[in-house]
Amino acid sequence: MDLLSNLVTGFGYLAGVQPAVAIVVGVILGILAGAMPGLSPSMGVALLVPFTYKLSPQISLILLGSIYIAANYGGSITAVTINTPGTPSAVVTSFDGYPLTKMGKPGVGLGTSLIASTVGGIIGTIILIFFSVPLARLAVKLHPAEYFALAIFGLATVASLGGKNWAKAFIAAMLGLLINTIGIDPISGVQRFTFGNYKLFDGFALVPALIGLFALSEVFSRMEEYKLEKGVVAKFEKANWPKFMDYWKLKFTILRSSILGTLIGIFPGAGATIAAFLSYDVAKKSSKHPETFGKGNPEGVAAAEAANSSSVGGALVPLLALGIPGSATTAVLIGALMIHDVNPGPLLFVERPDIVYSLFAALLVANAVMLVLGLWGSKLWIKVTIIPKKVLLPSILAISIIGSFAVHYSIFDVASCIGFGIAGWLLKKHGYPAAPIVLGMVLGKLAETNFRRAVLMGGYSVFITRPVSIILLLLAVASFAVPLMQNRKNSSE
Amino acid sequence: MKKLLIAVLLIALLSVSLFAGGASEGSEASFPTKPIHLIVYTGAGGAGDILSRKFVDIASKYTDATFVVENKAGAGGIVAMEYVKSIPADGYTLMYVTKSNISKLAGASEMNPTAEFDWIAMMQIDPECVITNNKTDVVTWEQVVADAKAKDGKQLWLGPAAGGLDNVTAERIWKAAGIKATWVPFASGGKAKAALLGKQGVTYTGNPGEIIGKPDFSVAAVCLDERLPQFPDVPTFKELGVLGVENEIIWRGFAVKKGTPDAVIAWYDDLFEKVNNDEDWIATYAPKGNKLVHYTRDKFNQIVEEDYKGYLEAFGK
Amino acid sequence: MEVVKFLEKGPGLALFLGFMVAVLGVVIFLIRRSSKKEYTARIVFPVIFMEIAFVFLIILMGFKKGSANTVGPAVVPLLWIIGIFAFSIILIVKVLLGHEEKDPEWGNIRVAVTYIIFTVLYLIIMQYLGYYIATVLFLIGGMYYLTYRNWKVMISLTAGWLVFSYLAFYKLLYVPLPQGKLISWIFG
Repeated sequence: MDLLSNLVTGFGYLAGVQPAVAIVVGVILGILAGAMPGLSPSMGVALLVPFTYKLSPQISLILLGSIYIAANYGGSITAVTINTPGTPSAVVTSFDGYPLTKMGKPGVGLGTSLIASTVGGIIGTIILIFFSVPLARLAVKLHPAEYFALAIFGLATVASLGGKNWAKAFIAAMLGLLINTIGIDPISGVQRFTFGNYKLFDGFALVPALIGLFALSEVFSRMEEYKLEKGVVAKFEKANWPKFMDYWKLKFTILRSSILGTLIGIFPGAGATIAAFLSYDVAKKSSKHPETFGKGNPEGVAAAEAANSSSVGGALVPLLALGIPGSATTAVLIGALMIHDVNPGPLLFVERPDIVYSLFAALLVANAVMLVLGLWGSKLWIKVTIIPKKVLLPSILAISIIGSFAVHYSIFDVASCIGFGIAGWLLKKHGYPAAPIVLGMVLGKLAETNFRRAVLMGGYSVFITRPVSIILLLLAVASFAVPLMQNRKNSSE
Repeated sequence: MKKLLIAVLLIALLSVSLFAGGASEGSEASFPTKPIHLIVYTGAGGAGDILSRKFVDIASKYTDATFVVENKAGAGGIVAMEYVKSIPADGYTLMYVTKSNISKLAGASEMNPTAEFDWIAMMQIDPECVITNNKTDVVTWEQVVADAKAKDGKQLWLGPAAGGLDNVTAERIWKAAGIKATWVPFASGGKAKAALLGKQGVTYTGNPGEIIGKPDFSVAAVCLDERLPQFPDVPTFKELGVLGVENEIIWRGFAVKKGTPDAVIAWYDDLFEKVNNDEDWIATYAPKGNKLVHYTRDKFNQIVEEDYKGYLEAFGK
Repeated sequence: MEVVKFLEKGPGLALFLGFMVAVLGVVIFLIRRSSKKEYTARIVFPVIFMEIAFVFLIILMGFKKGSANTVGPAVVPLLWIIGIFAFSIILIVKVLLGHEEKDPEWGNIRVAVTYIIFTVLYLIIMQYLGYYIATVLFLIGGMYYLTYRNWKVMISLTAGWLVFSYLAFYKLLYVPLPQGKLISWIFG
């Protein structure tokens, strides 16, 4: 087979010293960038682009691809250990990862996230290798009506995120959605709720808001408790790393989440965060013990991490097969390729198979390297949980401040991060969860712009005349209603 | 408490010394005596960022000056322009600019481009063009016009945000050609191109370089006086009888704050001229369908003023 | 719509927001004197949400309408505003019907608020004295305030963080950390 022989050639290319160094350096930098709140995968990749000018296109792409893969895993480390998601998609990882840490089992959270990320990354890459061309053709056919339905499907997960506090969860989501409308309206070009301040023309940036809502609010809550002598964990048992059988129990969750994550990653504009939210919701609904989700169920960690890592493979599908960037990170990658006069697109597979297949091989190897480095690194990361809070909490604040500054080099972003931190602390204290706010901020534009674009392109009837759209919308209604009804049943019992 | 003081002092000393590398004597012997900051309005890795870093790379062949690229992304360039406005006009802050910034200013800001900045070097002219999907029945400009007439305003033109440069260009083309169509704004040019590949609309408005490596795309017509040597088969709108859109281009160049000394601008003129003639610069940007030029401040300021007026008119201001 | 133009920015906005805060004050005062005293926060939060939604609603009146076959810029935000009102009312009704628990106890609120003030000061000082000096003050002062006294750890951690932020952010990633207005004024 042509594909396999190309792949073998690709692996052969990795045999040199340079590619090996590129992969290892890429994975290390990626894990660190991911773990650093404020450096999302796209920024991690973007900030390294200037260094690739002098490298060959293959090595550049191998380096940047390794960073991309590893950054998605790195975000989970801080999410599990200190409830500070390093990347937007790791918000979902923290739902169960941090409760595990608080129960004194940070090893379970860290181990599960590493294994799920690795397996997810490999599955995503395999799907990319074998199906990229047909899948890419399918992805561009997706109509705005279907994107809208997908966004609504994602929003419906609020119903199950909220649990008993569903009304508060909905308010939180609505606030996130309303915040997301601030800025210049992408469809009509008019300013909305900018209060005459040009710094709000693009609205509030997601990453500073995220750092505020999760990291800062957590710090303020801990301050309020003022039991600061010890670490997050008083002490943890040496033997609490999961055994092989513990991972084996998660096989279906990981497999399902990986496939779902890859598929969602393919669609331009959807991305890792939505993939993580959706597959968490699916895992929760298909679990026999949905009530344990959010309280430290390793399945939740596995679902989130497998999905966000596999979405990397998905996001590369339209980039390589069509030359179309579907996410912020792939938009940066396309820029990096163009510096080297490489134009991604269908012709790339024919004209420069060396570039394409060495990247494929490198992604597979990078996942393996990530596993090795991650296993070794986790023994270090886990120590973060026993740092006394008197030292840890000020440090988290310092990290958060520099992280939110690094997004746009803007003091305004840092100030809004602190604002979101105070609001998040007060809201959380009174039973309003922060995750729906993030969900609203992630999905708001996707839902609104695609709704209006769809109407512009085909009138209001498109939503029901297109089969994919109507099916997704019906599914959304169902996933909306089921948890609410279950709640009602539980509370009446 | 004493220990605290000593510790604070010690580390304060350390942190001050970290700056010492960056700060230097302020004598004005000859320009430049300290690093020049190049402000870029796109994020790291964006097209503008890449161009700026390429420029810095080439410029350092011709001068010993140090350039530091600084990304000030946000609000389509307004964040960057507000920043440059707030800094002394000493020439040590250079700003990468494109015609998109002018449409953004006209649409969303009170800032007047030529009152605040000196537009010192226009380096590239990238003509706008109409791109079609050649796997559909509507490929050539004649077919686009026929299809538009048949659909009576419901023909879909895909592109980036409403009120942006491409949107205004499309509206001018419609007016000149006497057709009606609907502009469908996407979050980015890339996503609009994906939708064109998926046959969700009929055209995409952008630049000829965007079809390189994508065999499904064709350029229907380009907004220029004469055909581009890089795309000899692509007709111009002028040839097709659509007049008045020969100047629908996106230009790229550099500006400084108004009031920068003439001697400094003369230094820049010399540098830009050298970069404009550089082989590496030409080899990188000419094949993408750009016209490489070097217009100095008088001509460039005039162009900016006219563009600004045109956009104010287009937005009904 | 001249009213909206006045209220959406500048002094008009300040006046508008001031009025909303005053209304909130009156609401808190009234709840405090009623039988629902122990539910103050349970009621105040939905009231704040409705006030935010109301401010957005007023500004939204100034948006231009969409033409036929297009959805205007006001439609979707209006939907979210209605949602916020609806769920806020549900929450207040739940309190009035006695379906809500009492307000949570405040913990050591003084430490939390002091730290918020520290963080804000950190941001302000950073702009005048630069990132590094502000960070030293914040980290050392912050740990000291929490009664941490292991000087070896405090100094090595602070110095380590300075070196890390200088090398990783400033040198490697070109993040232009604030130099500080006073510092650049002194050093030129």
